[in-house]
Amino acid sequence: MNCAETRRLVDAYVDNELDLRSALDLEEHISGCDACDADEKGLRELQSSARANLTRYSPSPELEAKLREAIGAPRTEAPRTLIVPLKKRWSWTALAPLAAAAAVLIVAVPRYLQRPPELADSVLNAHVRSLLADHITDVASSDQHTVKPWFQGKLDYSVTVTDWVAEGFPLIGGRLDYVDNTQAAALVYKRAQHVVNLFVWPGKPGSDEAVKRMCRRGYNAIYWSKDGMHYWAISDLNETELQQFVELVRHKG
Amino acid sequence: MPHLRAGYNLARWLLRNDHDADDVVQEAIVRAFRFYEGFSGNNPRAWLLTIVRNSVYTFLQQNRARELGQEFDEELHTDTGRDSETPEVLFLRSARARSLNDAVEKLPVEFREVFVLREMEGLSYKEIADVARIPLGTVMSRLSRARKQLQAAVGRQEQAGSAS
Repeated sequence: MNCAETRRLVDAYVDNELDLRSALDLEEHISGCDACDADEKGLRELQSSARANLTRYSPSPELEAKLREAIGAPRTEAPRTLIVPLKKRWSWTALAPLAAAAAVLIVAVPRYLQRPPELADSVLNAHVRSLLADHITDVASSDQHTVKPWFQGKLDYSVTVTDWVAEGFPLIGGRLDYVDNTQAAALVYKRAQHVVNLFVWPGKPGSDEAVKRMCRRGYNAIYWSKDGMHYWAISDLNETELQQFVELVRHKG
Repeated sequence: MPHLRAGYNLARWLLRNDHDADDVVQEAIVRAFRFYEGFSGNNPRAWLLTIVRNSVYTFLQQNRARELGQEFDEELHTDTGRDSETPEVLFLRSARARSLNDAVEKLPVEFREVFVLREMEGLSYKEIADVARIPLGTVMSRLSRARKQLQAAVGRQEQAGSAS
């Protein structure tokens, strides 16, 4: 690849929109070309500066109330279907700013894998409900050593919690939910502005099932079973990036 | 309701004032939900951004048609408004954040749109092409030109700041 081609493609490269072959060619070129290397660094600087500095405008409370009414959403919080007795209460309102953040939820649920379509609806509804009500996390923390013990007092099984911040999926917390009439635990991760859910629950001991995918109401879901635990990843993220997250959970967790 | 907030943010950036953004977003959402009874298609976020974006363009056509289809004038769009703000004042207000916000506001609306959808909403090129109804190649070229203008504008602003 020469300088002219690199200049034409470098934006797509920093946006992860370039095919692998071209990306490798481009990387090879900039490793030996100071000018193009500086271009690439400049674009990344602008990108991080834009993400950090651009004003994110929000509707006024009055407008937000009108919009909620127009879309038929509850004025404050969605009705909570969670009946699981919890050991302490926490503040939902403090978590409202997370609404704009992208998230990955890991929810653990016993049994019920026998009915994937209904389960998919149940999982999807829990995901959408958490977003509409701005209730994404019960325990907001990027520290896996805070989130994991939080679950231990509330579930009769252990949930693996790993912060994938270096891989681009920072942990932002966890929560309990209620999915398909079953108690569920959720881990929440970010990916740019997108929201992803991964659901995990214990199944038959030792049961393994291959990775499957589905797309429903604009959300991508990837689900599988491993070592007796069932997993559902769900997100409005594109399938490729959701798959990246799934690979992390499956092979590095 | 993250999608609604994303829609509002887009409208506010394209219209550049609260009052018009409030009116346009409210009308867009009320009408969309009255006629379509909620989200349709398989990407509710892109759907909502598209509705808001189309309403913004209708509003601009009716009220501020001059802002549409502006040619990219390098001189015009790299001037970051130093006339109205002294360097001292700018320096006090987090110069970098301010100059970048100013520079984005000065982009022609079609370029501002692509930049905001990419950097603030994290949309893919394909999603931006769908929302803005332009070919993928146009997404790429607009984004690239927008970024070059922003880099030039921010660079000038910082030079002006350090020269004082």
